[in-house]
Amino acid sequence: LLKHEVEETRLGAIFSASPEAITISNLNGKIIECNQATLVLHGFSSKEELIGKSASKFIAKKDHKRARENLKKTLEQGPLRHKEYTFLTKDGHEFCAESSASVVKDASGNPMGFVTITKDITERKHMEEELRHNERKIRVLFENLPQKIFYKNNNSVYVSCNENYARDLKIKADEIVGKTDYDFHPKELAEKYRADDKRIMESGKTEEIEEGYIQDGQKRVVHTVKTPVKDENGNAVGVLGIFWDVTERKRMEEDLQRYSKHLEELVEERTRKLREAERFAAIGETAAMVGHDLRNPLQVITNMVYLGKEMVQSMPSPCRELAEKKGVYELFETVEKQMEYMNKIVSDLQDFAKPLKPEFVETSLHQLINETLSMVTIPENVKVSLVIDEDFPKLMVDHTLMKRVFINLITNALQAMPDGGQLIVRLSRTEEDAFISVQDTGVGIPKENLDKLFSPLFTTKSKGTGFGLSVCKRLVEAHSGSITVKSEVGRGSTFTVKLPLGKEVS
Amino acid sequence: VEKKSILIVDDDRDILKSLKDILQSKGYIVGTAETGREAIEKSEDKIYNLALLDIKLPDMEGTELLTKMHRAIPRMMKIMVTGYPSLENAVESLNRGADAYIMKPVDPKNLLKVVEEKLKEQEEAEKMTEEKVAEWIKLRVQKLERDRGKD
Repeated sequence: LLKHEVEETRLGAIFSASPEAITISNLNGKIIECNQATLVLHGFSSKEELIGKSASKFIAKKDHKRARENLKKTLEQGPLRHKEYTFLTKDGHEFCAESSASVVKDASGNPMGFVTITKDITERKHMEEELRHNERKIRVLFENLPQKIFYKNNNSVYVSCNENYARDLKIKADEIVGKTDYDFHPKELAEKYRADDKRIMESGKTEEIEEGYIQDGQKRVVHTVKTPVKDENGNAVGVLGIFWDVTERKRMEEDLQRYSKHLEELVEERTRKLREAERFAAIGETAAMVGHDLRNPLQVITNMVYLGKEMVQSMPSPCRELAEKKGVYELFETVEKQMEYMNKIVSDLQDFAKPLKPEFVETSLHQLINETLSMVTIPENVKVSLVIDEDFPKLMVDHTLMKRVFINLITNALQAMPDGGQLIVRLSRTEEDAFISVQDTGVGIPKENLDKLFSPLFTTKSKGTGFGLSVCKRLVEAHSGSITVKSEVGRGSTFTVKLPLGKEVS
Repeated sequence: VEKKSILIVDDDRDILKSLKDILQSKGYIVGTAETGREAIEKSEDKIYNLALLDIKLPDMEGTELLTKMHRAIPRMMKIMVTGYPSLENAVESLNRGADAYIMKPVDPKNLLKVVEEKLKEQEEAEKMTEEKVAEWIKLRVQKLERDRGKD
C-alpha cells in the first residue's frame, strides 16, 4: 500500500535520485523501501537484499537501544534530526552517519512507518577530529611556550593571551579580554607599546623590538616580535605579539663587551709600556755612553780654562790689565757657566741611565724641602710658601733621590715664572697616601704637551735636556709612588707627587 | 823644600797634558802613564808621592791597578778619578786602599786642594813614623844603658 502511494507521488523521482540515503520502514523497523544512495551507503548491489530486513541490522549493536528510543520519540514528539549512529555495511564495517527520521501517516493520521534520511559523516567527523587535534596542538604550544604571547585588536585592546603572559599580569588568561596596556603597565611603557602597535599596523610590517618591561616591580629588557594581523582585504585588524626576557643576555653581552674593551685596553697599555720600556732602554744606553764620553772633554776644557786664567794672572801687569780690560775674565766666566750647564746635562743623562737602588731612610720631608729650597736660588720676585698638614708623617724615602725630585720640580717651577710669582709647596695626606705638591703661578703647559711631559728627551726649554721630569718620574716610581700634573696656560702648573703611606714610620 | 812627585794615569792624552800643566805650574814633578802597565813600570822606576788613577783604563780596571800599586808602594797616596760616581765603586776603591775619590770633571782648584791635603797627610804620617822610630831607638838605647849599668 505504502509502496504504491510513494510510487504515485512526484516525490518518487526525488526519492530515487537523492544523493542521501532514504529508507522507509514500517513501525516494526522492517525496511520496505530504500533508494539507490542507501544501497551505496551500505554496500549492497540490489534493493532485494535490504527490503524486508530489520533496519536495526545496519546499526552497530551499541547504538540499538538509542535508535529504538529515538524512534519512539519520533513517534511521540515528531521528527528527530541529525542523530549520529554507527552504521554497518553489508560486510560488517562500521561507519559514522547521522540520521533524521520522520513518521509516515495514513490519510486518517495513523502512523504507518518511518522515513529515515542518513548521511555519511565519516569525513566530516574525521575533519572535525583533525581540527580539534590541531587546535589542541596549537593550544598546547601557545600555553607551553616559554614566551609570552598576546593578540590585540586594531585599537590595541587585548583579545587574548597565553597563560604565561597572564601570570605576569596576575590575571587569568581569559580576563585579558577588553583590557589595554594602561591596565597593566606604567603609563610611559603603555604609551610606547601602543605607539609601536599603531606603527606596525600602519606599515603592515613585522618588527623586532628590544624594550623595557616591568615584572614584579623590577625593570627588565624584553625582545618583542610584533606582527600585524590582516583581514582578507589586507586591512590591519590587530597585532600579534610574542616576547621574551633578554635581561640576562643583555647583561652578559654588556659584560662581555666591557671585558673585551678592558682586554683591548690592557693589551694596548702593555704594548705601549713595552714600547716605552724599549725606548727608555735605548735612550738609557745612549745616555750612559754620551754622559761618559763627555766627561773627558769636559775635564780638558775645565783644565784649559783654569790654565788660561793662571796664564793671564802670571802676565806682567800691563799685559794683564789690558787683558782684563778686554774682558778676558768675563769670557772665562761665560765658558765656566756653560761648562757647569753641560756638566748638569751629563749628570742628568747618567742619572737617567743609572739603575736605581734607593735606600729608604726615615726622613722628614719638611726638612728635605727646606734643604732643597736652600740649595736653589730663589729670585727676588718669587714668593715661596710652604703649607704642611699637621699630621704629615715622616716617610721612608731615599734622601738623595727625593731631594733630586724636589730640586727638579722647584727649578722647573721657578723657570716657569720668569716675571716672578708664587711658589707653593704643600705637604698633605690621606689615609693611604702622602702628597707633595709644587705649585707655580707661571706660564702653564699647553694641553697637547701634558701627555709627553714625563717622556725622556721631551722639552720646551731652549736649554732643556728633556730628562728632568722623566728622571723625577723614575725616582718617584722607585718609591712606588706616582707623579701627576695639572696645568692651565697663563695660570700656572701644579706637580703632585703621591707616595704610599705603607712606608710610613710615625 | 823637596819637590813632590805625582803620577797621572789616564788614557786620554789631552787630560794627561792639561793636568800635567796644572800640577807642574804648582811646582810638582809630574809623570804620566796611559795604561795600567805603563803606570806599574813607571812607579817601579821612580818613587811617586801620589798617583791620580782613572777608574777606566784600556788594559785593566782602575781598581785593579789600585790594588797592585797599594801592595807595591803602600805609602804612595792614591786618588781615584771616576767619570761617574757610584756607591759601589767608591766603596771598592776605598777598600782597595784609595785615599780619596773624586769625580770628573773636577775643578782644578779642588783637585789641587785634595792633592795638597793628601800630600800633607802623607808627610805627617811619615813624620809620625820617623818620630816613632826615633822614640823606639831612644828607648832601646836607654835599655842598653840600664843593662850595662847592672853589670
